[in-house]
Amino acid sequence: MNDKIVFGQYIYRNSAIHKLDPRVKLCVLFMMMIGVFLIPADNFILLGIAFLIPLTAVILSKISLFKYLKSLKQIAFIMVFSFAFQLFMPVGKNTTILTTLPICFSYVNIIVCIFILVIYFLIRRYLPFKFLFFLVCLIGIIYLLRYPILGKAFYTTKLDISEAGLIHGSFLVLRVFVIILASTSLTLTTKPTDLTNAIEWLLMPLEKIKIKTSIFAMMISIALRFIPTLFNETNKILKAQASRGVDFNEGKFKDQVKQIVSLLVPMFVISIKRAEDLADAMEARGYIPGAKRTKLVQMKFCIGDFIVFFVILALLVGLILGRCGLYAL
Amino acid sequence: MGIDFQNVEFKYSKKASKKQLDNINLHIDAQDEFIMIVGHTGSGKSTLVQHMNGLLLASSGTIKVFDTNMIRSKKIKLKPVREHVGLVFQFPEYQIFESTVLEDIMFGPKNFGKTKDEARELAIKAAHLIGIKDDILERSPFTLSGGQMRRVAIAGALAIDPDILILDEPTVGLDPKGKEELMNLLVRMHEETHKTIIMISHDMNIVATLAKRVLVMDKGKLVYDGNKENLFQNQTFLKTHNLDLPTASILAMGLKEKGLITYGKLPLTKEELFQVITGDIPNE
Repeated sequence: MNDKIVFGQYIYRNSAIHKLDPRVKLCVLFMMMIGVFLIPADNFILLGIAFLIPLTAVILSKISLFKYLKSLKQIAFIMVFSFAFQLFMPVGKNTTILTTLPICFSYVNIIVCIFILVIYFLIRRYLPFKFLFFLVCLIGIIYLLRYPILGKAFYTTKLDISEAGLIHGSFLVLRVFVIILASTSLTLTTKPTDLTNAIEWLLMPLEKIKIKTSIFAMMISIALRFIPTLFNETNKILKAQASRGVDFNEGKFKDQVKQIVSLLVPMFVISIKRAEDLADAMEARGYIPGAKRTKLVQMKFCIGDFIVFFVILALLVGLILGRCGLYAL
Repeated sequence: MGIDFQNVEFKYSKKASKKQLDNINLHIDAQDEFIMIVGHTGSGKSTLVQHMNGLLLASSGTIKVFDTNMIRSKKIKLKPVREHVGLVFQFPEYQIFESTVLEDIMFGPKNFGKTKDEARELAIKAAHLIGIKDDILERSPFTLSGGQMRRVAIAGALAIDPDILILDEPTVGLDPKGKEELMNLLVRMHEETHKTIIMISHDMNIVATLAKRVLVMDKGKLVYDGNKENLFQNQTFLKTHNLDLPTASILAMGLKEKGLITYGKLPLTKEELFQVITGDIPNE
């Protein structure tokens, strides 16, 4: 409906991070990913240093923290799940056990828990703070399971929360957090077209073994360019077919299939026609697949790019040497 | 009966400051109207007609279409409304998807609960009305020319047998001959069936020859609702709303300026201009 559908999450600001060369940003993200997983387990100091890198990017990018948190929200569930999993994992005998959660199952308990879950799934979509609500429900259920309500529990067990489990769990979550923050700061500050250009440049060595990377880069940027267009076309066809009495929500299964066909066939026709037109237009302007092309926006490294790249590289090399045992980390 | 708009306002979202439609008041009869909607690009013409069959629902104000109150609610049944008010979009040939022309025209009636035989009958009737020959009916629609495909698409809307037919720039992209043929067919159909036809058009020559009533949209507001003669007399009004004159009127004004002809009432069509110049009614 809205004409201004922009693909990707790019937000324009005039900041140092935005001006940083996309190739450097991509390399830094790649090195971050390797580095964060090379950090020895439970070494919070090194993880803290790694965390400083995306944090600087976040602060320098002039984009509100809220936008970053939004992308974290999508994986918050997985993070909580893996944290809980690590927390209750039985670890070796040597660690101190912090607390023990007794868990009792009685019939009333289970029914109440199911009731809470049903309510959670019913009213979830109407609440602004879904994640907070999820946490409240989770803690509520854990507390409920501590005491048998009405009658005897037929099964009791206990879950140990050990110190090692707590440390492992939080380390794992922080590790994922750092990587998500870094990749979000890349997608928020880099245009999709710049990103494809950067990928094309980084894949240049493949041209040596006769793989035409420029064609793939062109394909990616065309696909990105046409997502909003096709979205608009779909909307138009949907409206046109709705005027002809199509209702995608009702009717027998056979009718529904037919109604989806009434959307799919025109979409194929339009896409093929557009592809043909685009191919003609590209050929008319002298595009030859795989031929050498010049770029409208020339990517140029400047001193800042080199500094960022080599600082991160130095950190990564230092980490790798440490892991190899040259010195203690 | 018909379509009633009262203080209708429309925005794409609650927070949007721009009103796509702004305080529209309008009544359209279910019979014998031939309305042309004109206006600059982005003036809200398409948005207006999409409100008439419930593709868009007003943000505030009331719209009544054939006794149905068009309000934003889950209970609203839009299908009966769409059976009364047919809408043909720009470049309607893209909505065609069936393997034969006849099947595609039958798709609409079948959706509205007609049996196969009834739908076939309606489809053949609609095809004849819009000038599709019998030998085309069993062909694949994708082998047809652009003009023919458009007729098939319009026939698809006609087969539903709506009381009001809305067309969004039906002649755009057709050659002059195809344009004239299509317009003549629509006029003939209007005279035969007395269905109300609402048409969006940029072509002032078409407006000057055919319109019984003209609506002018500008920046989401309905700025003119009346006959074409009064509209084209008022030069300053046309200018402020970025509207052109028909070709015959421009020519007539030029000739008058040179002192070659005089007229009391500005001629709008080439026939009227012919009459002013020769004093005769054209016999061709």
